[in-house]
Amino acid sequence: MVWSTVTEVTIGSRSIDTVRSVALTEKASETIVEHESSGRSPTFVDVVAVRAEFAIEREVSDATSAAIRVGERGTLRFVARRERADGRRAVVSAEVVVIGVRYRIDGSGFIETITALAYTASSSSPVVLVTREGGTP
Amino acid sequence: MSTWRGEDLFGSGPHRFAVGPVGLLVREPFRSPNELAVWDRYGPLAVVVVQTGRLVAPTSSELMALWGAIWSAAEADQTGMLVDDTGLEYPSMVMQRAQMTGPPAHGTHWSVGYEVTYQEDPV
Repeated sequence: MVWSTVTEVTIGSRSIDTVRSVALTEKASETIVEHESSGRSPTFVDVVAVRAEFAIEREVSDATSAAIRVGERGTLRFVARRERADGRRAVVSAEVVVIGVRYRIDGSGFIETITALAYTASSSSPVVLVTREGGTP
Repeated sequence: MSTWRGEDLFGSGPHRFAVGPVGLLVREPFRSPNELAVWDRYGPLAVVVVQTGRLVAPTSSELMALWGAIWSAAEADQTGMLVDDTGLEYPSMVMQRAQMTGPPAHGTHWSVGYEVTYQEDPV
């Protein structure tokens, strides 16, 4: 999932400015694959662990002024500016730990990409919450 | 379909069978400068079959019920016919041991890996 226009991006109490986009990648981090005696193909596959990673890409004026460090944690929250059918904006939030901060030079300046791994206190709860602005899901 | 004493205990998920070592039970010769080496032969090895697989159920309680049936069979100390997934028959076997190979896992199903060891009843 990609949000190309976002505002009010925060991680914990820290404000993350000039964000170009936020992408959420979900990937199986533990799979069960079982075979039977006959045949090459698995007859049972299940995903028992999922890894959800945010990539927050933003423009920075100076690549050495790192605003955020690997290992920091907090609630990632942002508002997706694209209007929904009902006219209300989507608010995305998740508990995250920053696992990477990377820089590259773009034609227009420096680009910082913050990678954050989402987690939840209870494995039965959704790791990423998307609500309508105002609080309803 | 594999069965143990005519019961389908493992049909909920995939499983495979492997036969353990076969041959003769032989005691190594006692070696001494004054005696000839003598090999003691005790006859054929008891057949051992190891079954590995995964139990699969829609709920945790149903998974534990499947595991409970295997647990009971392992403690029953009964001799019976094992039929593997290819139809091979192993008569006069005892389910000697059953164990989970990891914790139960919850994805779209509840499942748990297991290993069951059968040994030919020497009686």
